[in-house]
Amino acid sequence: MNRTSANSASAHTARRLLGAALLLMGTLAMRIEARGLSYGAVTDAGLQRCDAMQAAGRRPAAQECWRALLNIADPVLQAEVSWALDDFRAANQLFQAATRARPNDAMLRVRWGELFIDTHQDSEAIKLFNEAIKLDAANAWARVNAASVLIGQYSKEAREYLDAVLKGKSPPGALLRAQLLAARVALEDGSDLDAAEQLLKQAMALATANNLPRQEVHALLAALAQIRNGNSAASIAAALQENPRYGELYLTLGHFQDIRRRYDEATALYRKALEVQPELWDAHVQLGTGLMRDNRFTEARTHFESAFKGDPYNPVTINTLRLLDSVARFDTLVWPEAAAGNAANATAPQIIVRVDKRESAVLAPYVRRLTEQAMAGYSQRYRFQLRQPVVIEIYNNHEDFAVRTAGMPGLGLLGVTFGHVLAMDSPSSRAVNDFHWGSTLWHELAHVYTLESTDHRVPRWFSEGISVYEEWRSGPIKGVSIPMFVYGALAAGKALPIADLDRGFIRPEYEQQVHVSYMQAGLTCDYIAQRWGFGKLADMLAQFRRGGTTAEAVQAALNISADTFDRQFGEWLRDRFGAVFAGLKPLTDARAAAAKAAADKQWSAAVPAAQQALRILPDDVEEGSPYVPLAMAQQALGQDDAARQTLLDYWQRGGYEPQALGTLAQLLYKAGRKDDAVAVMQSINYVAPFDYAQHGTTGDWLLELNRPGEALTEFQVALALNPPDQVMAHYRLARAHYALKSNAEARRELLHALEIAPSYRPAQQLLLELAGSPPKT
Amino acid sequence: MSRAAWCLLLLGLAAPASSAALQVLIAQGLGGEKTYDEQFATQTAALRTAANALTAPANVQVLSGAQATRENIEAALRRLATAPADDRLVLYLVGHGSFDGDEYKFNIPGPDLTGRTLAALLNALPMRDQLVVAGGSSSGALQDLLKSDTRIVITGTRSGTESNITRFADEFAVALGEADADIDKNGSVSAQEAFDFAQRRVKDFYQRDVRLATEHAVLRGQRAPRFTLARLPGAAGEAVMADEPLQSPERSRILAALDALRLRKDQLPPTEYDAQLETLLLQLATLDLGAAPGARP
Ligand SMILES: [Zn+2]
Repeated sequence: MNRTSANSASAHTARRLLGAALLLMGTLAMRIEARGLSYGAVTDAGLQRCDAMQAAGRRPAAQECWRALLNIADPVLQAEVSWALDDFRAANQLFQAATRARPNDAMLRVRWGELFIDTHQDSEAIKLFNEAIKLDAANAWARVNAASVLIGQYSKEAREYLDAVLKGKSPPGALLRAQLLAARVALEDGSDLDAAEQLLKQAMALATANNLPRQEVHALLAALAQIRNGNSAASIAAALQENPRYGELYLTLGHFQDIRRRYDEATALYRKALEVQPELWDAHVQLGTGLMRDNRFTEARTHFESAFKGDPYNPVTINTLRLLDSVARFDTLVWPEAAAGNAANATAPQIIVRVDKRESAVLAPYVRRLTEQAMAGYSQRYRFQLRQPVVIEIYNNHEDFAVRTAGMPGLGLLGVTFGHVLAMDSPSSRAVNDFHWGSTLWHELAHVYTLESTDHRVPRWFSEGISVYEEWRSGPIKGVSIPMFVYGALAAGKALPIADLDRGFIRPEYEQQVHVSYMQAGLTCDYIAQRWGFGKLADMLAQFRRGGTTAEAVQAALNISADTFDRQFGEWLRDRFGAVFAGLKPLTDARAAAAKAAADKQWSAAVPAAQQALRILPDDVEEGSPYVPLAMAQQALGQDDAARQTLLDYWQRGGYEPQALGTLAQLLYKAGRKDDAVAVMQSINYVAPFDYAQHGTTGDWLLELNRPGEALTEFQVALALNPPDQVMAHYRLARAHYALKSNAEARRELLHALEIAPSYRPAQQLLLELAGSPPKT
Repeated sequence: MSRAAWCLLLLGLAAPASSAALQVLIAQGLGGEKTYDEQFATQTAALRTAANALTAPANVQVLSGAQATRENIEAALRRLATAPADDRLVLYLVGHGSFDGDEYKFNIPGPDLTGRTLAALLNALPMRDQLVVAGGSSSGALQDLLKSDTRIVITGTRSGTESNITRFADEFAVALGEADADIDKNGSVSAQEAFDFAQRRVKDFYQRDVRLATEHAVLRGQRAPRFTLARLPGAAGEAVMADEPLQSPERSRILAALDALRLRKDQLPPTEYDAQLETLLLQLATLDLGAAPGARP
């Protein structure tokens, strides 16, 4: 659900904000391995007898039974049997032939469609179910199957199909399946567990009365008990009594732990599923996915490989195996580095980074600096020490990242945190300047603390709120930066009650609600910190750790009710942004006028328009910010001092467009403010790190400031980017080493430079100087 | 730099430095429209400036506008037939070319100059050291026509069928005045350096605009790294150009020894190589900076 909304958000609004604590629902309609229970959709008595053996967990007997049926010259029966024996190709051909012979047989199409579900071809399946409904308007089997597929795709039509079966005169088996599906939806939603229980009671009575399998009813009852923290043992026992090889029971239980982010519990349950039923391919997929969340790639691979052997059609499996191949080519960086040869002195690793070999030398220093800084701040502010190292995966191919997080390509997110493991896009995976990767990392690292410190009990809104708040207040680009449309939504009163804010992330009702909710959550945390002090945010986190609801946490930490909070937060919003809310139209107009005037080089017109926009919203540093045309105009009008001040404001409020910042750095440098110039240059690394010239200049300035250690880093990065001017790259490194009194390294770099350019004067000079000083030991 | 390039450097050095002169002919063809005419004039100006800094004005011939006829180009080349064989020749063709599948034509006023005619004219010249730079459209068609063991041929496209106006020609002219092109920082821009610079800039352009490149420049000829095309203003580096007064025998000896050493890089242990390299580099630095090793300059 958050997947689709993230995708539809306009690109620029996604630049900073789209990072998420993982709450990507697994597909709701779980795959039944091979041919599942038919619940009476199959009427052939011989086939039913074999199916019953399978339903009782007697697979070898069932297989023998099915094979015996292959001799009967009935194409439909043969299709069913081939399917049961995992010969999907034969089954498909037989169904096709049978459908040609009996074009008006709706049930035939239903069963053929179910075969397509098993081979992960949802759209083919839906086509057949709709054809069946055309042939037989009352066909409940087609509807319940269509619903099962569409629910997996988060479609609204699913509910209509389901209701038609639940309320119509449906065969008991179809009705039972509809009740189970509806119960599953209710359990996933979690907001009305009583309704789920009611549905399951009806399902149990219906199954008993009609002698239908009850294992799935038991499984969902066990899940219900698990969600309520009750005792699920009796339901588990009942399910296994009916079918001792019912691995799907544990798969279901694992799924419901997964979506509540109880990953360790989920993983244990998937393992149990495989103990009971080793050929449950989907359990291999789920377990592999869980292991990857925990940084256990090697073991994960074996499970995906098993899954691929049994179910080569699952796109998640195929994509993940491909991803694992990419990751195998990554560097693994571990910090602090293990002390060489001295185990007693070895420090436990705190940070593990997986990054493409071609990028690791460029990104490593910045990732490390930022992560260490974030961890120091977060562990102190949130009073929590991580129990495991942070694992940061950086994907230079966005599709790999998408597969990593959702199993499927096409995700609109930039970063996802699984717990102590987080995955994000590399800046190289997107167009230059497309997103501020440093801010994304900062955001995701905050999730690591909110998730891990509460054993994943923190509500989504609070985790996102803290992450956004930290981006604004402590991140590599500070400043409350909010996209324009969010002001529009807030002005229109679209803020959700705090107790209900999760809904905006999990079940958004309009296109941009996920983004609006991110911002509302960030503002909520900002408000709490301003009014009650930052400590109250840490107190709320402690409440969530104990399993409290949002309303309880607000009451306990802030000593007011959620309703009162909403009222006061609303007042604060109006106080703080009243001028923006009232001035949205003139603001938008002035912004556009400034941009147009600058594009037309009408500099004297650009200045007042931009200034007018900035009077209404000084924090406007997002895409299309008036600061940029204003500074351009001031420069063109020869007002360098004014341009410098404009860009400085822009930067300090969180503006990060690299070209604008490059200009700012030059202006500061020219004005003699070298320290500030360097700070601006260094901040560009967190949005556009792949420009060697940028690193070279930054390093030169650092050397001028007598900060050779930092200069060395910049020069090393510049060299890693393979600049055309190798001579200069090596010479710069030599200078930094020389300043650090690392004469041996300086000599080595000089030899590199002079080997290419023997008569390069500055390098010759330094070589002579080095030769005159005794080598450092 | 690759080993192959070092190999070439050595070949370059082996050629005896003498009083041989550099002869330059620039032929600027028809633009067809104002912007192209201006573009070509800019290129010609940059090439002429670079040439004038390397050789006597009498050795630089420029034919443009109405003068750039086939007849005049032929005459200019014939005039060089009396030049000594160890003179070096640079021919720049500035402008559009076309290719009909059989014949390359350089677009000039009056009858076009064909690739075959050009090849015949160049082959008839006594000087072995020749460089032809044709950066314009369809120039790739010249590669096969002008192929020879001693001639360097640089074209803006890889074939006659790449017929769009090129960026390469502009960037090549820019390179001759650009410090960024001087990769070995010797104060001059070699044919190889100018080519590499222009190629890099063209590639960046197409990448930045996310467009499919419609031009792929080609350089053929072994001596390009040592064929100097421009001397950068204010540069005080090696003087290896033929028209320059000879550098000291000592300097030549050190540079030759450096080249020889670099050729043996793979055969020496790294520390040994570095030690020898450092010795020679210190000698050169001392010579260039007029200071004894160890002295603070
Ligand atoms: Zn997030």
